Amino acid sequence: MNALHDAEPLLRADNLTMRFGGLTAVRDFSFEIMPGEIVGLIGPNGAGKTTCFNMLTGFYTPTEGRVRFKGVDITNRKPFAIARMGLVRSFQKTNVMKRLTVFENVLTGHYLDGRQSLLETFLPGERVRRAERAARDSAATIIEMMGLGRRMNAPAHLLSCGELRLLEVAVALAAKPTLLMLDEPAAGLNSHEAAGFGETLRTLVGRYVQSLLVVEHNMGLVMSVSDRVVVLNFGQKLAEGRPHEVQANPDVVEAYLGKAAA
Amino acid sequence: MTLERNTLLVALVGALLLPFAVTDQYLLHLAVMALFYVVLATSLNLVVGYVGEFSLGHTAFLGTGAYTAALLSTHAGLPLWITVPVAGLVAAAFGFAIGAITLRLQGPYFVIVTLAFAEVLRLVANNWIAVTNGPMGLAGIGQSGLTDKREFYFVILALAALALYLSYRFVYSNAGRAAVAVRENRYVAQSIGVDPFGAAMQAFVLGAFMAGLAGGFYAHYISFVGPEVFQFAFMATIIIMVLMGGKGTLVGPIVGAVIVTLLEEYLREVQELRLTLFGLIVMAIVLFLPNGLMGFVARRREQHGSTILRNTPAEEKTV
Amino acid sequence: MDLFLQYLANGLVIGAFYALSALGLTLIFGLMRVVNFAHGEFYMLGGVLGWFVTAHLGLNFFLGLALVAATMATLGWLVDRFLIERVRGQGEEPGILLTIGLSIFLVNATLLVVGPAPMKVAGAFAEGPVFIGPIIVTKLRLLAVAVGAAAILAAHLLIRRTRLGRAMRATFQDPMAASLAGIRTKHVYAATFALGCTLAALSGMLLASVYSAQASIGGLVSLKSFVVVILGGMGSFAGAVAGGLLLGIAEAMWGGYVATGMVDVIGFVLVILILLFRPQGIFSARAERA
Ligand SMILES: Nc1ncnc2c1ncn2[C@@H]1O[C@H](COP(=O)(O)OP(=O)(O)OP(=O)(O)O)[C@@H](O)[C@H]1O
Ligand SMILES: [Mg+2]
Repeated sequence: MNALHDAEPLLRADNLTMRFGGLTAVRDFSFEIMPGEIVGLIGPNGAGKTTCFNMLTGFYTPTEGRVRFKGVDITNRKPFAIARMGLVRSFQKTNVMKRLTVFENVLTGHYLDGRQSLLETFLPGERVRRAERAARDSAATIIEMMGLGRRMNAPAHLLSCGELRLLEVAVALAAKPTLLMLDEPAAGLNSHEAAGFGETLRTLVGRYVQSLLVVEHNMGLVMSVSDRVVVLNFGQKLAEGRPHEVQANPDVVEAYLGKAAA
Repeated sequence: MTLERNTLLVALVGALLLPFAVTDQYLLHLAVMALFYVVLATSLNLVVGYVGEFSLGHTAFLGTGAYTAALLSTHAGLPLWITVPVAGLVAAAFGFAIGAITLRLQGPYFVIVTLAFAEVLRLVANNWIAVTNGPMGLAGIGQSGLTDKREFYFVILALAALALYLSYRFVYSNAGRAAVAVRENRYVAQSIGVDPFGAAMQAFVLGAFMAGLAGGFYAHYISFVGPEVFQFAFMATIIIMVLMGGKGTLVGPIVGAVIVTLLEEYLREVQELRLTLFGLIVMAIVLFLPNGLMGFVARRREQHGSTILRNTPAEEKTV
Repeated sequence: MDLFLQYLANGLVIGAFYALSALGLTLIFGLMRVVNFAHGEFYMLGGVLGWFVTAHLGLNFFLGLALVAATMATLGWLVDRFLIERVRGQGEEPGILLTIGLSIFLVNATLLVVGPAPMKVAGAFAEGPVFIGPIIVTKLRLLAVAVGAAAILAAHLLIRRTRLGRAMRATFQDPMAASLAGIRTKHVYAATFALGCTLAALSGMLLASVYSAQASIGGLVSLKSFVVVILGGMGSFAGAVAGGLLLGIAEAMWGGYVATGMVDVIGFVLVILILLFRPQGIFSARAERA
């Protein structure tokens, strides 16, 4: 299906399987993400999308199968090591540092830019000070770009649900990912906010990140944003293709209607 | 950040002037002990306040530092200028070893196992008579020509200043933010590239180093070290200082250390009555001042709409 | 070989008290997740109160035991309702501090009232040796172990067979669902804490009838109880009993064959090793993941 692309994929998952005791959450799932691509990953509740995220980012070790990122096998690497390679994710259950301000959250997200030796921590030289200033400027820029400028110094626990989702993306962006993976970033947004959010996502690609993988239940958003959509159902790949192809696919329609009827 | 730094600088100036205003030996002794506890509380705060893991084994580092200095002094006759830094380094090495085991654990497991390490060391100190002289302890530790309480005061003030400088640099550095990220949310921390184990380890070893310095000083100052330095009672005192003052702030543990040192001293009349009251005070603090005195102050400031204890990017650009 | 059996028997006797005390803590620490540093003081109070009612007031041993149990259950209930209740659901830190404060208070208040001297609980009958094959134990030890075993059995029946026990299990599985189902979870927490406190106190009184009670013993008992709970797996009833016996035997063997000085170190070393290789404890199944 991806034979059209001749470039090396940015991310490639081969035959991923994840079993929890007797339950197989994901079975023999393969897909890839090309540089510059926005991929939507959809599927009914419990289809295995989040499990997939966890396997790709090292939070779970797949029972079977391999993950390659930038041509390197990352299957058994730790989450932070994978993040350091440029694969950064958000979480379905909103995860921010609640007691820190918006600014502090995003500044903390710049961790990888400012890594320093112990000596530099205690006797910071010009290099460290410059990195610190750059991180602060960049944090402010990202916050403005995500439209959270007015909330810069608000503690995160005072943010609305929609603002929290934006903050989460801002923190992830601060880590300068090559591939950004978002797990239901528009959950809790109203339709107006979601549309604006779709706009923001499209501007990210190319400017801030190379590729984007989005899990989303808001079909309007996924279909309008994605270059390509992958459908999971009961842990297995059901369909894959351009948004309009997938929407017309009878299996996909049935999977969703079946769920609606149940 | 700026507010906290200025508060610390004012406190330092005050502490420098103190021995010129106070000549009473007993009061100077209290001041020395208060500063000794400032170092300990500050070091524990790095782990409890910034990494967010509740260590009850901090006396392990205090004790190894104290015994290191005591042994170097009594056997090799080395002076304080050498024994105290070595005590810090030995404690840091213990911190690294203990951290390598305990920092894999979280929550109550971490609490109990850190405590278990301190207890093991106490029992070793009690029973390894050839080296530690058992319950009799090591006495007659040299005072390296420091005869006056005032001279000891300046030594411990220097150590306290060093501990606070190191903490300040750590807390407001990228590494410190990584530790706070682990405290606030382990998952987010990992997804932005922070190694939770590594971040926690840095703070843990740094805290152990400072506690070791304090222990080394204590050995010379009191001129005696026994297995009590590992005791849980010591630990309880330090932890109460940190929490009473306000963990996760640099000023809080200082305030806590000073108050508890004075409180313990003035309630000394009858040992049991003092500790009975002390227990009640501890419970009252947990129930009525859950974020410590500094947390209380910060809340009041926020409520009154004055500057919040936080740094804004705008403020930073004007620097 | 005879010596081995004797050490084993001694270990089982001590282990029975560890088990009883740890059973109390596994309810409070394992299920309620309160890192209770006052547990050893509950144990100590059991011994001191036991001395007071038997040796001082001259009550019969069993009557005294019942009285101590009732008093300590009330104390446990009050501690939970007035102290622990207020920091529930805030992580372990405030609970640790609160119980450290309580423990400092209880030890020193006891010292103020009765002083530091050891106090022996008056036994149920005159002391005398009992010979079982090559092993010698004393009558009072056998009685204490028997009463301890009965208390363990009673606690087991309480948790498995009564309405309160069902409410407890429901509450610790899912407090939200339990309170929706009409269980008054506050009472369940308090009752659990009271039960844990009572078990510790019974253990303390029984042991004080064999050795003696002392106001300052609590710290070590708390630590050992934590050790046993972790050995056995948090919240595991059978684990606490098995862990207690194991620790008792390990200490008796070490004390018998290696060195008497460092007996107390065993538990801590065991715990460190266990958590390194089996963080979920020896006896419990794999802990759930985040
Ligand atoms: N850690 C785990 N242990 C056991 N089962 C799990 C675990 N994580 C996920 N599962 C199971 O795997 C299946 C897939 O879950 P997953 O969260 O990946 O679905 P999802 O597609 O993200 O659903 P949703 O749209 O609701 O977020 C579910 O049946 C879930 O219960
Ligand atoms: Mg999901």
